[in-house]
Amino acid sequence: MAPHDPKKPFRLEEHPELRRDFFALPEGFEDRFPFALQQRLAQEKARATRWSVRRAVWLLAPTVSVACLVVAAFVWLAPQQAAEPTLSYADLRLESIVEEAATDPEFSEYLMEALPPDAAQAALQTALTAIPDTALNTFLTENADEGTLAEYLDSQP
Amino acid sequence: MGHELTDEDLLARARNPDTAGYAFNLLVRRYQERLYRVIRRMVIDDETAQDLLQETFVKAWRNLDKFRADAKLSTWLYRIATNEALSHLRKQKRRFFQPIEDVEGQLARQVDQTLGPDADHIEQKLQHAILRLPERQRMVFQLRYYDEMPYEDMAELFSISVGALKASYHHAVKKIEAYVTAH
Repeated sequence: MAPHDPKKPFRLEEHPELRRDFFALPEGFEDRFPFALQQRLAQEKARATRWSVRRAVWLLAPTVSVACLVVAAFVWLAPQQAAEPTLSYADLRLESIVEEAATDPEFSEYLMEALPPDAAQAALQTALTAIPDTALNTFLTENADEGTLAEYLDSQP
Repeated sequence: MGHELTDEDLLARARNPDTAGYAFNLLVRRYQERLYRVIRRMVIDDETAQDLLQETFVKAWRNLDKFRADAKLSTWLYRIATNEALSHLRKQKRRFFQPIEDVEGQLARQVDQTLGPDADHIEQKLQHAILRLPERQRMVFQLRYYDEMPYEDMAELFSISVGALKASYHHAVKKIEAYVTAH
């Protein structure tokens, strides 16, 4: 290496020998590094796989949740829907009145008068449901020929 | 056989699932030494340099599909490596709020250890002078001085004009010469 005269200003171009890279490669670097890198890449691939599975779970989770809710709702509603053909309490009450009307011509007349137009039928049904069994039975058995069902209903609070 | 393949061939094979492992291994062997030296000159420590080199190739492997074919593979790899080295140095400075002088001093001590007690005096001073340059200027100087990288490639690497790079290199040389003369 050319010695540098401390009295002269240093000029980089006058020392081409300095251009050499003074960092030596670590021993066995050429083969050890690719080997270490392969191991690291294998870990990366495994991590990437885990991430894609996790991401798929994250993406699917809402869909699966909604599907579960739909199934749960179906399972919960199905028996209720199946039970629908069964008459409700109000239906039973109305049905018994209609049955009564079928066997008692007079009562049938009262009933015909009492039945409002279709639009009000639901209200009548509710009203009938509200009448205590005993009171209605009493009316049906004892006062069937005294006034119409509508009058009776009007008299109820 | 591997050395006959161009970078473009290697890249195409590295993107093909059937040949990816083999081609990427060839790519690593082709660039590992050059990139190691670039990183090592910046971070000085051997273990850190190997870790950052590994990170460089892992990032390259992860982003092979995103690499634009109109850029040079070598430039792309150099960019990842230089970014790794520069961000490592910045992190080192941010960590524990270390003053820049401390980091430089630490690097200078590592340089002295690497050179050993019998090291040439001028070489030691040159390395100390290089360490005093701002990081990006140091990178430009080292790529030009040691690797003789063309300014055009560096311009693509750093996204700076050739003129600005020439000026940066010229200023770096002046600073180094002034330091070595003064010490």
